[in-house]
Amino acid sequence: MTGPDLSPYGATGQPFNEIVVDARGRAWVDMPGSMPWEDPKPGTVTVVLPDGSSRQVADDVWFPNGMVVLGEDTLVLAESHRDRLTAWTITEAGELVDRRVWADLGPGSAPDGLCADAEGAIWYASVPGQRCTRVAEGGKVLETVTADRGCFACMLGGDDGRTLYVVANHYPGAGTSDGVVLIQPVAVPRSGRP
Amino acid sequence: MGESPKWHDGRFWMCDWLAGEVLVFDADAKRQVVARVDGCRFRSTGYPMAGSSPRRLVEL
Repeated sequence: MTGPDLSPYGATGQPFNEIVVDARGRAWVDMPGSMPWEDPKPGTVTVVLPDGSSRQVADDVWFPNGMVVLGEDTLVLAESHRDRLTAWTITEAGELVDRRVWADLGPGSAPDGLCADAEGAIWYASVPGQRCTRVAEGGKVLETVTADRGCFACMLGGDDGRTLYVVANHYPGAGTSDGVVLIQPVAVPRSGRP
Repeated sequence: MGESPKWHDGRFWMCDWLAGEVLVFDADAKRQVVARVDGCRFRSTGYPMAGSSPRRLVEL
């Protein structure tokens, strides 16, 4: 193993799921209140500051999953168990305010990983839907890419930001995996964070 | 079990959660294991960051 040494950056005291870092180096981390196979309970969002300290900034999020920062101060989070994307405004002080539904995605969408593009739309991955879908604020579906297995996350990349990378997998049994990386050229390049 | 795909520094990165590996792919899709952690995530800019299971962030 030739990888770098690992050094602690912060701790939340709870198991966490997704992370996104804003322009000021603040890490936004979400934590499900229950595992997918348990009775659903709401989770939370915590911010981890560059000095390693952390505090909870949101609750009542239902299986919080992928996150993206649009512009300088809009955090969008996938609530897998509510089939929606939820947004807040990030304040100077690192609080989340003005919670709102960014997009209602419809039953069975269960949004997982997210990324954003230069037109302000969001691509979300759907495991049960075996697809990645590009939506506008308000929920209008703009484009869909399908797969033969569950799509766990997607990210725009490539030198021009116009390749959609999709990690897809049949939902694994005990220790099994048949993961693939799919790529799809798209018209609108990546934007936002990550 | 792929998760956490990222485009960083001109290359495609991702995590294999079951294997606990941070992977980087070359343009020819050849993969390289660059770190092993117990569950992974990436920081969005600058350095990769992994979330080691269950409750710690580490900087790579």
